Amino acid sequence: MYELLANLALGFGVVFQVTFFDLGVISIPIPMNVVYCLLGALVGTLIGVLPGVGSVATIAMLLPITFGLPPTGALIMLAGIYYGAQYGGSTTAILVNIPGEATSVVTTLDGHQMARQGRAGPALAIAAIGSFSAGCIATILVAALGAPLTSIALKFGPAEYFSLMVLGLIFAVVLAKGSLIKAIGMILAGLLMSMVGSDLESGVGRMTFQLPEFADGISFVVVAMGVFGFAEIVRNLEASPESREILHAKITGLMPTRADLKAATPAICRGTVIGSIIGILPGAGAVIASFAAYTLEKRVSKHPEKFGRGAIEGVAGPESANNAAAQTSFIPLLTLGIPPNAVMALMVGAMTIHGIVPGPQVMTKQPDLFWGMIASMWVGNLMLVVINLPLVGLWVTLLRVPYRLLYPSILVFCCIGIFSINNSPFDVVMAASFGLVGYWLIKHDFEPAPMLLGFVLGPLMEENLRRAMLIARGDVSVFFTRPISGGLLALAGLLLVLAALPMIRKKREVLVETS
Amino acid sequence: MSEGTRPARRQRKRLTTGHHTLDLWAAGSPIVLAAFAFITAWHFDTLSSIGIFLRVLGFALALLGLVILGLRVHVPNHRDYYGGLALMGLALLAFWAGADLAAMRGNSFGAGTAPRLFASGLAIVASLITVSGLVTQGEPIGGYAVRGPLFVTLAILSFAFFIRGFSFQVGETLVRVPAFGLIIASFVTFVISAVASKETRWIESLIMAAALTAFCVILFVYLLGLPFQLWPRF
Repeated sequence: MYELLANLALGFGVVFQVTFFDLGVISIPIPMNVVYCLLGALVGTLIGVLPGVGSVATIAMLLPITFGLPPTGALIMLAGIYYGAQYGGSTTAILVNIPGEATSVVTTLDGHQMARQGRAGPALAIAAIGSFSAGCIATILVAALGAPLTSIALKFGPAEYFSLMVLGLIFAVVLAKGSLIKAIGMILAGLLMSMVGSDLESGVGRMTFQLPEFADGISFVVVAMGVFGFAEIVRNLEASPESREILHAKITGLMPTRADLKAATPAICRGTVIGSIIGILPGAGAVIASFAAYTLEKRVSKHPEKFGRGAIEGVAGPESANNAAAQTSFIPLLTLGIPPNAVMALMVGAMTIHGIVPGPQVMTKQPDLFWGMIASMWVGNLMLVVINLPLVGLWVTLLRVPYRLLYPSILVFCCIGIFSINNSPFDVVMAASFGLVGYWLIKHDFEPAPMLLGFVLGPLMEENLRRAMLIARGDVSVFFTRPISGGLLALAGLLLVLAALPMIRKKREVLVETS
Repeated sequence: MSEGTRPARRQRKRLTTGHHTLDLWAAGSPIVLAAFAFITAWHFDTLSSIGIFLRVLGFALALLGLVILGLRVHVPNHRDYYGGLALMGLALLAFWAGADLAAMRGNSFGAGTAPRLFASGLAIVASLITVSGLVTQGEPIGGYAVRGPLFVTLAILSFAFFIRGFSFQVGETLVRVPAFGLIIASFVTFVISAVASKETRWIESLIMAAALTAFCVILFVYLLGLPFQLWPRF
């Protein structure tokens, strides 16, 4: 307990570290990391509010603006961007009935109904308050679990890592929309694409078609931006204009009433607990957390018929759950170095750009970075409440910008973002082709998220598979006979079998249908 | 990833043959893939496991194509059928492009081991998806939009073209395309992409393009200090 407090103190020390700006006569102390966090949350919300831009696209787009910062500041800013983007997604879900991303899908059910009844203000406020309370608890949880999990992670050998990644990928398959076998196909396609580039051990160029641009492999941002950003624009252009209709009702009164708060408090607590637990699991944590919280709220409610007609619990529960899960999903990344979802995969990309290799050694070697990031989670959540409640009016105006002006702007931003990573026009061309691939995938009912996860985990998986096989002298049974590794694989197999069983498959399809 | 992409309803339906017009795409695609599989297999030893695997795949694909051609089979679920075949194509492409890579030596992986492992997995899963396209009923793919994808892609390509100069050789002469810089690149990209939507109003879009270009210059060049070239340089 004492250690936990000391670590958190270290973290807050890093976040509130002041830099003195000399103005000749006086020097002004400015806590730069807080400024980064604030800016991150602000621009994250700004971009995240745009309909059809999810948090993956937001982070990918804003990644270049963190390049000039010191590593700690950059990661703190990225965390701020992530929370901002998520909150922005909820804002569009409530006001426009367009979920900015999968995690806020359930928020549309009751949140948008509240907005139609003229109660958009309380809905947005409860979403922010719920997110903040969930964030506080989840921050403590991350800090408490970080150290013990890291010590477990240090005992992991290559076989365990490999099995853990298999489990993570299976989670992604089970939680993906649509057919299981197609999700597995997407994962394998992602793994295969990640093999392009130089081989880690021999340095031989693999599947590069003799193109020097392929020697470093395909950039993750290029794939993410193409498949999520560009393909999404093309899809939105195809959809009818009515589906993008924007709310014209006036927003009056921001603060929730006492009755609202009374109804929402228990829902926030339940959502936080569910979200924190589910977020740690690899796979699409935050998505399933919000669904689970909504289902639970409906089940425990005395008036289940109110749900879908503007029940405030239906906003409070899922919003707390997805924020808690978003936070605890940093645990596998920070302790094991394994990104549990596409957003965390982008964080890995950002860390590598700044020369940090995510994994258990981050905590021991760069404690200020590790604890600074955890403390910044709390600060980021605070920023969301502080900046978003007063700025709701501004976000609403932004939502009134018609799509015909919005999408070319998003496109230009994406192009500049991709280009600025490597100063390479080839990357921009590649992203354009991945945009077409993404459009094709949508047309054929393939879900791109598992592909992205496979793409990120590919090199890690290969490395650990190689090492494990070398240590075991080519004996494949090592993955099953080592207890932790065997257990993880058994769990993965069980999950897959369960998801394929007809009874559960039906439930899964129902869940998928509602989104 | 939200509305509009509902998974196809899956119902079992017996394959119907004979009564349909010949579907040349459905029959031709697996035959082309079969040819590709045999060409790829030629790079591998006949008796190596990959060599056998690729030849078996080739025969299976050729058989599938010929059966569809001969019996005039109607493919009930186009999304799965073509989706599976495309993934099969990707797997074969990986085998073909990585044919020169080192195989397993003793207990240690060669450069080609992991790619082949993933490609084999993908080929197996792809064949399952293709088969599910033959035995389940699905909604039709329902036409591709042309205008949106075309102009969005053109806009992105134009950005890549204008932002950085490049040179290429035609016969004896060296053709040099100068860099046009960020201002022209983002303005042109905006305008071309605006063509993609039917709702675009031109005057409004041109004003917006100019405003956005100015905003990008201020944000990326002056505030963030990224090294962009602003104006054309010859």
